[in-house]
Amino acid sequence: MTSLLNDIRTQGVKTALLGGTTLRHAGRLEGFFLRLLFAIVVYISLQSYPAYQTLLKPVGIAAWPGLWQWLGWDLTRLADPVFWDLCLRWAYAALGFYVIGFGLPVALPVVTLIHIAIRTLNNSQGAAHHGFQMVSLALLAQTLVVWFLAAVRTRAFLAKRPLPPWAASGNWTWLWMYTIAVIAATYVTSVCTKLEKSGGQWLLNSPYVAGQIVKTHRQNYYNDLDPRFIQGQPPAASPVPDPATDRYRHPIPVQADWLARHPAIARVIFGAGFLLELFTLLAVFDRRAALLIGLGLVSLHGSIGWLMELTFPLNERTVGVFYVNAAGWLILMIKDPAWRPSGKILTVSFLTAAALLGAHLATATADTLAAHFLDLSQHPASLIPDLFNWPAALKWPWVLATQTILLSALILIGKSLWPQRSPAPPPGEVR
Amino acid sequence: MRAFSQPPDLTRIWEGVPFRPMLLLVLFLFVVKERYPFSNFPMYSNLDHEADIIYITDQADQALPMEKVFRTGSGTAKKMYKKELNALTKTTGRKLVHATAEDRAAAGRAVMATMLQRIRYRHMPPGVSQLRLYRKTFRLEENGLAHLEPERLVAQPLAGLNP
Repeated sequence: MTSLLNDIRTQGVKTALLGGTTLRHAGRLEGFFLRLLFAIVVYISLQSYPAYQTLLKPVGIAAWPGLWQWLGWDLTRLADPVFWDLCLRWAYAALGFYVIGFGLPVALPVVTLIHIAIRTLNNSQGAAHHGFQMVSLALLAQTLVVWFLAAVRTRAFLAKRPLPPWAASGNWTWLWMYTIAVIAATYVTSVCTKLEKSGGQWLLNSPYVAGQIVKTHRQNYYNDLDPRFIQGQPPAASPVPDPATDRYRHPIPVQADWLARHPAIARVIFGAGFLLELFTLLAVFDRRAALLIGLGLVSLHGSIGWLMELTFPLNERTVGVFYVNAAGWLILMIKDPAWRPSGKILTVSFLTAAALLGAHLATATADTLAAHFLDLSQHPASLIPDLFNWPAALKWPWVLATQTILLSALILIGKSLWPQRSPAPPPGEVR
Repeated sequence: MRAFSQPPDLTRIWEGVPFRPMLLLVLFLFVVKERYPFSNFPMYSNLDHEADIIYITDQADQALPMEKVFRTGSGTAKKMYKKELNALTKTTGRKLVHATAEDRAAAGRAVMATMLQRIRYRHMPPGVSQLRLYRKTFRLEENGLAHLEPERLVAQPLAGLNP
């Protein structure tokens, strides 16, 4: 806090807040938005409370008997609503400190421990759920980063040495980059596992996803008996078991049918997703790579959600915060004239964003492929809790603004990658 | 010539790798596998021409809403079933594909035992006297997707369990 006031006094408000944000660095204000938005993701994930009373198949820290013997209790204590309420209060208080960026070496481990503990209880029931690991791992990585930085700062303070620039107050690059790296590692690990488990045949076998689509739709049906997952025809056992007559009795989702009949195209589609997961590791390069890969990952999750009715909302949101990072792009555009969109770029972006929003509103109630691709539930702005229940006068300008920033960023990235033509030399001048 | 006469300088190669901690983490996650919060993310990593699901019905084979009644989704029940079946076949050194009908029934009984602990009786439809755990398989064949006859793994009377 003192360093912020010092910087404001010496550099002015704009530089103190926006300074430090570049293609590869996150400054003070960007750091604040990253923490605020990720705190929302963590808050949402803590709302999921399984409250299991048993540890059927302990995993992770639940499988450390020595620890629990020493503590005198185990993770099932979290099933006690009073104790869990107390944990939540600690977590929310710690999240408050996290957002303002104060006391992180203490606040982050509190949130991390509570998040890992409740999800470990959930995953100790004999079936692994993979919707929360990314948030837990991001929290764990951030904890290690802030501990390391705290150690470096303490050492510099004791030795009365100046801090290295990367450890200076107001530089949030490490937190941002290491979270990007951890997210990338989860996707790359998933690719390695696909190759290992399938004996290198994953892409070849990818048309079998058709069967998995039927599976996930049918599982969703048996979860709540919602008829939209069974193409309007309730499954029923035949009076006399006879596999010959049971075959092809139930209609299947159109997308599963289509993929089963077009295996070559299925391999191309899933191959693109496979390569995207593999090349997620390039996101550590800079914010341009992070945005491009981030939008790809959000689209990938959206498409899996549409195809398989299988969603990973917290993964999407975490990618939205650290990869897409609309707030960071806005700060860079304000701070750096080289990355400031011209009036022409802004106009094109705004008109495109307005056209996309108009198309979404026109197809919102339709159950078509176009409606899926225009759906805003995967939009980075949807991270804001309850955004789509806000009054239209508030929510659509918000979506429009985010969309305009991101489209402008995409155009600027395109321009930055395109070789610039140098101006023609004046006549008579020798190059 | 140097490349043949001297071993490659591994330290230099390693130092040339960008963002090394990320690659170390990939290796760590891949080796450690399922130990929350770590995972090797095995979802849909081995696609097969067959896919199966687990569901629960009453005595008249009418499906029960699993999330509401058993606080466990069909997908989670399937993972539990596979884990049990894996453990059963492993003890005799067999692969999962060589599981017998008795193995499948035993795994089904273990899943049903968990489901019984999780029943929310206020959500149980009236008149249910028996719970049946089924496994249904979908098989991708040349001429389309076949629905195989569901295999009943367990039939568990409910009478006397309701508190």
